[in-house]
Amino acid sequence: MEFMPDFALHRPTTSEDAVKLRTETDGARYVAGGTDMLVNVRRGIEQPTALVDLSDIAELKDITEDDEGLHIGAGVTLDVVARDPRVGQDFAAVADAAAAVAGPTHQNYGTLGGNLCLDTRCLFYNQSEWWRKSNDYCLKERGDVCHVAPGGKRCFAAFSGDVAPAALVHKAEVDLVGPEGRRRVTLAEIYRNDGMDHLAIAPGELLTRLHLPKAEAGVPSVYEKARIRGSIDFPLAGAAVWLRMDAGKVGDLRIALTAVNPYPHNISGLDKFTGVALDGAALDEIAEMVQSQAKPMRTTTVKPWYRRRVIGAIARRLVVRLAG
Amino acid sequence: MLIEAAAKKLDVEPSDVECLGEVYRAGSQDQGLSFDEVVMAALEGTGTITARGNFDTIPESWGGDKYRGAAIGGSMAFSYAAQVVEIEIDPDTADIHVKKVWVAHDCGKALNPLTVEGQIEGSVWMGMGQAMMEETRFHKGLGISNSMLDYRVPTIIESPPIEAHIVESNDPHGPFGAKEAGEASLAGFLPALTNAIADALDIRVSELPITQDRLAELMDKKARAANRPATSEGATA
Repeated sequence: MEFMPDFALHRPTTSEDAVKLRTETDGARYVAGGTDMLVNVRRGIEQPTALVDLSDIAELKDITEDDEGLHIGAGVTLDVVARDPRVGQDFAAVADAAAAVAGPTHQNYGTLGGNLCLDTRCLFYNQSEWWRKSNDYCLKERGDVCHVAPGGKRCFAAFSGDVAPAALVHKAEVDLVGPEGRRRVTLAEIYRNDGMDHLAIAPGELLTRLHLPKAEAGVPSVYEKARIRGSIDFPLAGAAVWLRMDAGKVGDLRIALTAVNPYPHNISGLDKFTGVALDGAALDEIAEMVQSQAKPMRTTTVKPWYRRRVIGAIARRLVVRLAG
Repeated sequence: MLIEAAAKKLDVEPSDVECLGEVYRAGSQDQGLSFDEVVMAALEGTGTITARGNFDTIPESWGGDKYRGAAIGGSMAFSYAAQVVEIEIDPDTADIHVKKVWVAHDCGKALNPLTVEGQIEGSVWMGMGQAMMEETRFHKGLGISNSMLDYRVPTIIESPPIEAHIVESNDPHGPFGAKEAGEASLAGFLPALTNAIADALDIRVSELPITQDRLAELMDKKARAANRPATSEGATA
């Protein structure tokens, strides 16, 4: 455990001021709940010269509802998301996912935005400073070698947020505030398949709000994750499933995964099941598609083949559960 | 030291002081002093009371002349425990859910039964950790389970209902007839769990902790050997 570095602490009251402080200060970082980020600071992974504390920005803290849908501020804590009846009824997977993050104390501090923008994780990265130094660091941080796939020049650190796949199956969108102003994009657009740099948002851009569209409200959805313990653990593999049935057959099926790729992954090719009855063969095929698109690597102490196996089993089981 | 303090307080010779467990008195007519009062009297003169002594277990417990190397030493008395573990195994994820644990522990005389029960429950948790998740692993000599996140200790969610039974006996070698109230309930969890797994799946586990990936591997191996897919029905032992 390292000492905290010397840093200046800023506590702006508007998103625009936060963006300004973040972009105009070299080495500045945002901090919200800090449940993951400050651990990385104490491990010497992050060495911020300034922290821009987002806890005093009113815009980030409310949940509003209108004809378009439910709008949740990025600073809303995960326990509030998990317990909000509007989330639970209309976007069940999102409530499941928020309640599945770590343990209750983390949920009381950790924020929705923090979980969506969670840094990717790896056995060789989430270690102490002396440990990483002894291991010549790694591709993701200060080093030249990926210890997961030596010889490769890609980072396979796994995105391990719980909420993102749940929000993805509900076709969520997000607001971003940056130096160039505000923009709204689909949640899927902010991620890319690169463990080193998995967030496709501009430096300093701040995620301020998650929009869950009303058009998606109320369709049965669910999120479940594999973990060694029933609490605290990050997902070894997690799946969110959204299923609209139509006269006993699949109307529309969406599945998104976490912890098995460097980004939360939407399963592609599920359109083929539209109009199909969910018999054993169809369910097996869904599980196989999930397993083939999941690319777990040796980023945790648990073997990758198990994570691939279990993600297929979880997805299959959740589809069965939603189909009733 | 206490006798001397009592004598001084009672204004008699130390040889006249009679110690009756918790009462010190100088004669049968005397009301005497309580243990607390004597201790306070002793503290007045000396400050913190220190004493030095020496104890070893009986040679019979050493297992002969070649007894070497154990840090704690031979036991004065041997305790016994029996344990039953009920589990449910998820055939898809290989999650083991411990539904209930029964432990009966012969701890000799239970000096404080509530503490003994607490010890038994704590032992079950420790056994669960050893059997199911706690593990130190290394990468090129560097430990990779260095935090309470990666070195996984069971949480309250894993905690099953534990039925603790104290089986009292009176051991002549132990203090007031007591033996121990921790290790036996801990050591019993591991074989009880692996027996439950064997009963449910006909799989004999030989490597612990039996994490989900290890159990899944054994389940797959068995399914392959039987040349049929793993059953998706729940299994209970």
